[in-house]
Amino acid sequence: MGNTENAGAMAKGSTGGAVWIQTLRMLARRRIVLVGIGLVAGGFLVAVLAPLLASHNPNELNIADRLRPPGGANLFGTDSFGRDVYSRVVYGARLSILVGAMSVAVASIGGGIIGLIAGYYPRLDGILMRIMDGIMAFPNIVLAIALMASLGPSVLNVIISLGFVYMPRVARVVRSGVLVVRESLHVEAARALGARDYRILRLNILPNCLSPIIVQATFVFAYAVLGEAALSFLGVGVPPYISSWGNILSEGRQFITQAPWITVFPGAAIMLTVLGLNVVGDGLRDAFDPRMRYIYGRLSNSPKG
Amino acid sequence: MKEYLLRRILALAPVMFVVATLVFVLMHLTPGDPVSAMLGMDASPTDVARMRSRLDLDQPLYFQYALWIGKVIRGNLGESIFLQVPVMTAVLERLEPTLFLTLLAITFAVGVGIPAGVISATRFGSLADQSIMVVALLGVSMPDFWLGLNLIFLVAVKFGWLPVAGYVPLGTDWLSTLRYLIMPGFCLGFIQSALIARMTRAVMLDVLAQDYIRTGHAKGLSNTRVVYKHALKNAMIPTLTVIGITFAILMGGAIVIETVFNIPGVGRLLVQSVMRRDYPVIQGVVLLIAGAYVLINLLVDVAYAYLDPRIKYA
Repeated sequence: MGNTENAGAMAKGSTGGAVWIQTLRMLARRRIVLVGIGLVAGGFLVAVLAPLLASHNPNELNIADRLRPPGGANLFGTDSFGRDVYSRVVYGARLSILVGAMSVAVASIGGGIIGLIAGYYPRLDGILMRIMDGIMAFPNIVLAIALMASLGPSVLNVIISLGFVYMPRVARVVRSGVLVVRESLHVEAARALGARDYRILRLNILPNCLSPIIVQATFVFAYAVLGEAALSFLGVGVPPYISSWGNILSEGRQFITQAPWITVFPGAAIMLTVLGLNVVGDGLRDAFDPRMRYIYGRLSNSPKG
Repeated sequence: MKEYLLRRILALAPVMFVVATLVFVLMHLTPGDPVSAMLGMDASPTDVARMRSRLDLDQPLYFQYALWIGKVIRGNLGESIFLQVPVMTAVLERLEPTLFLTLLAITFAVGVGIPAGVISATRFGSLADQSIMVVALLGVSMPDFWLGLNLIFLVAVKFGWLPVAGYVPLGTDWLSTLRYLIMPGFCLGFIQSALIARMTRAVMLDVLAQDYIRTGHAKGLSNTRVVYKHALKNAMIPTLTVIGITFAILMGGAIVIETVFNIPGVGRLLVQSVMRRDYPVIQGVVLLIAGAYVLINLLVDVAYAYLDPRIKYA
């Protein structure tokens, strides 16, 4: 076993810390990516610090103050029940970001395992990937609606549905990564030394497939935040008594002619979060792509940066 | 080519089989008894029993599955519990608004997205490029229904230029139909145009860096000729795939947009059926949408192979 240990360590060494450092350095050099990181970090901070940031109890009804325009005590105005829209948006960040992050976890773990198995065992490849194709044959939101229709509205079910819907995206990139890595020398060496499949997958193959998983996870996060909003907006997502960005939009829709502020702010919050995630995703994808690394290396002094 | 086409059509069978199986499994995931969910708590046992046999729920699961697949193959999607009409009829009745909405959206998306992407790529790093990319980034990041709500407030409520929501059938007055569909079509199309612009730009940048483009410039061809005749043609091929994906997002987006603008289309039918727990309709609509998407993808792939002789139909 001592020898396999070495083979594994050598293989891990081949990914090299240098690539990661180089990648991070490249990310930091592009200003727009820093803006994206700032937006995402801001969203997380708001979610974590919600009780400190909120000016009111997000569920406190105050009929006397209903549909107040922004200003004064209510920074973003009030909704049809007199609830403070600002506090609701701040608390909504908790749920929307939680749902996004958990959906990413479901999609990455599920898709990662399926991709690893499909890529490593040619026998199972056909059937697993046909199932993934089948899932991808549904437009995302349609499949999520169908899942929610049969599972029933709850936060957990939204996470399961969105995670399931985005699983094939992760599975596909992991599988194609495995197909390449499987043929490399360090895998062959580990196999020759008698390492078991599980060990090879965990130590030799998975670390080399991490970068596409991270890129996909960032985009899936963005889609999941949008997906939660759409499901809740349609009334099939998070139950209405919990404040999520989608639910605030859904309620505000009925008062769009009199009180547009109820919808403007949660929508803007979604847009900024998703924008941040998209920019970070783009940046990571370019940074991991050796071709882009070369191009941006040459263009690093240009204003595009 | 003929052989390739045949192979592609045959490859549809397993995908559609997985799709149909998934739809069946999905609808049987419902915790508890779907019939009591549909009929409510105080339904009489006779009603429950009648509904169970109507939906074949009194049969063993494998038999239900076989029955369902058999019906689907013959184009029978069952009957709506709420509307009391065959699912196919219910869908066909609502197809018109959805079809025009998506058509309008894709026209806008392609008409704006491709030129924007080309301009961005040919003027890489310029102010025009940066502005287009910022707008496109905003476009792919905002929820389409939120854009719709904002537009309703601005265009319809504040300025009164267009109706707030609703739909007039095409047969009555096509001009009003258009007036009702402009805003929703724009919302759907704008988001897609952002996606297409980003893709076109990326592919164009790739193509413009190729040797044959430099050769074109070197032999004295005008810039317009190089960009539009030589580069764009090749850049269009991957862009085509994105347009195929666009259709899927459009079909999904139409569901939400139809809800925002109160358009009685297929998407609205799906959402209403979820509320009514009208399972046969949910099943049927989801299956039809997936089927349409698979077919569109087939068309895109075939067009792709036709346009790009490098693809060896393998």
